[in-house]
Amino acid sequence: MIIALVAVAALLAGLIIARGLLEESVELQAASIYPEARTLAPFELEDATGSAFTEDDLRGRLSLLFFGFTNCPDICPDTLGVLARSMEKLETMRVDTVPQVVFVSVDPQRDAGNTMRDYVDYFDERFLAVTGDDQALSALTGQVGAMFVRHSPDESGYYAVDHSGMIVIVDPQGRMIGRFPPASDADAIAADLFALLRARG
Amino acid sequence: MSHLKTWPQHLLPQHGLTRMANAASNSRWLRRALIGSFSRLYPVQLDECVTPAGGFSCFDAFFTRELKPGSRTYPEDASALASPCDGTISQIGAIERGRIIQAKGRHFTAEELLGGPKWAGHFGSGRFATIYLAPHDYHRVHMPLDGRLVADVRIPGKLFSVSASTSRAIDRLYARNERMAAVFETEYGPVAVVMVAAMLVAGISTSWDPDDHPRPGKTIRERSFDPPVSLARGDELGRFHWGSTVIVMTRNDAPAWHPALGPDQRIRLGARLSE
Repeated sequence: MIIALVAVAALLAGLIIARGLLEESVELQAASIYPEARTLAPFELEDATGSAFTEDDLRGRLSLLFFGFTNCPDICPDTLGVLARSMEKLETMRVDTVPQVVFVSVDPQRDAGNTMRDYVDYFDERFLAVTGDDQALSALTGQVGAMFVRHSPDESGYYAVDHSGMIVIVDPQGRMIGRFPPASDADAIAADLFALLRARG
Repeated sequence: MSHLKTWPQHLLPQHGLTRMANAASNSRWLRRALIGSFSRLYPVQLDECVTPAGGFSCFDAFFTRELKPGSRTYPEDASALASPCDGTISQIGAIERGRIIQAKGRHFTAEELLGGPKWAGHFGSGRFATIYLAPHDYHRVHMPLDGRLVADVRIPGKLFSVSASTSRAIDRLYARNERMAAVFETEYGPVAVVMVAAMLVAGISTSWDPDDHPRPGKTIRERSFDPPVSLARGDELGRFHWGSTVIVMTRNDAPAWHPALGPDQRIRLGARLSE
């Protein structure tokens, strides 16, 4: 009896270790995966309707976070377009649960409410859009290493916002596991997400 | 013991002495005497530097001398971090809960060093390397990796000496002296390079705005640049118009420091800093 239990325990341990090794050996084209997953500390942003969006909303499925602003001339529309194409590709690859894409606006003054909602809808209606005041934003951006700087307004009142262009990958346990560098390719992102989803079951 | 040696620094007119030293340093008339006595006092390696035709115009030009091309080598691995300067490692290790070790039993926080929580929030856990530049060292500072400048922050402060004995004795030394913190976006997320001034060693200029006043004003000034400034590993980032200390800060996303590096080791510009 005891021997059988030990054997079962050893088998389970072996399976867990093997799975760990398999996860490590996933070959990725664009993503860089951190040596250790990092649990996100509490933060509280809000969506277009004013409902809270917290670390708990990142649990249950893979999430991708991208930081930007709706008046962005280049990086934001490019990246959201790439993400929309990547999600389409994942669906054609018959992935049941595609990752949840979260656009975090670092320009709440211009973007809060329907502005950011309408903006992300243009790319993919399933994308989420959230924002918050500087303190609320920093609680998340500091943890994931996303930086932003707002420039002073020009004569017309327009101001640019410099921001990080990477996409942060959060696992279904709400842990930051890695990132896609700025300007990653849609095919590479889809392939990597497919590999990550498969490795993690 | 080090307390006895350093307490008079609290009483010295640090800023006044530094202004006088800066004036002398930029004088054409004093250059021969200053360069001559300096070279006798310190082991300056002039053979690896570019000497302008007609000699250095002033002591400052000598102090901020340029290296001959190819006199420093960088790691073959383009993603490895390289030492930003010539100098001696003062401390190297992990940033834990925003705390950075200054010397045995002394620490300061990323928030104190960077003048507030805005950028320090990125360095709550990560790594730091503090490198001390001796007076005779080469005084230009270069990029430890490719990066895009996000902000430069000029922070006013004291001008204590940053020698090893002072760093053991004076609490939060680097977070009290005048300094310029440059924050970069890199392959590994935010990386900060902080240039800390010291007594008779104040004056820091940057490669992206060389005509900017080399000393901070009375309050913290932060700037960002549009169009953005992109620099490659090894590009000049700034220079000290007198020598001091450089602190590199990374997040955990960046590779760990090379295990062979430790306090009191000499390190050369371009030497491998990461694993």
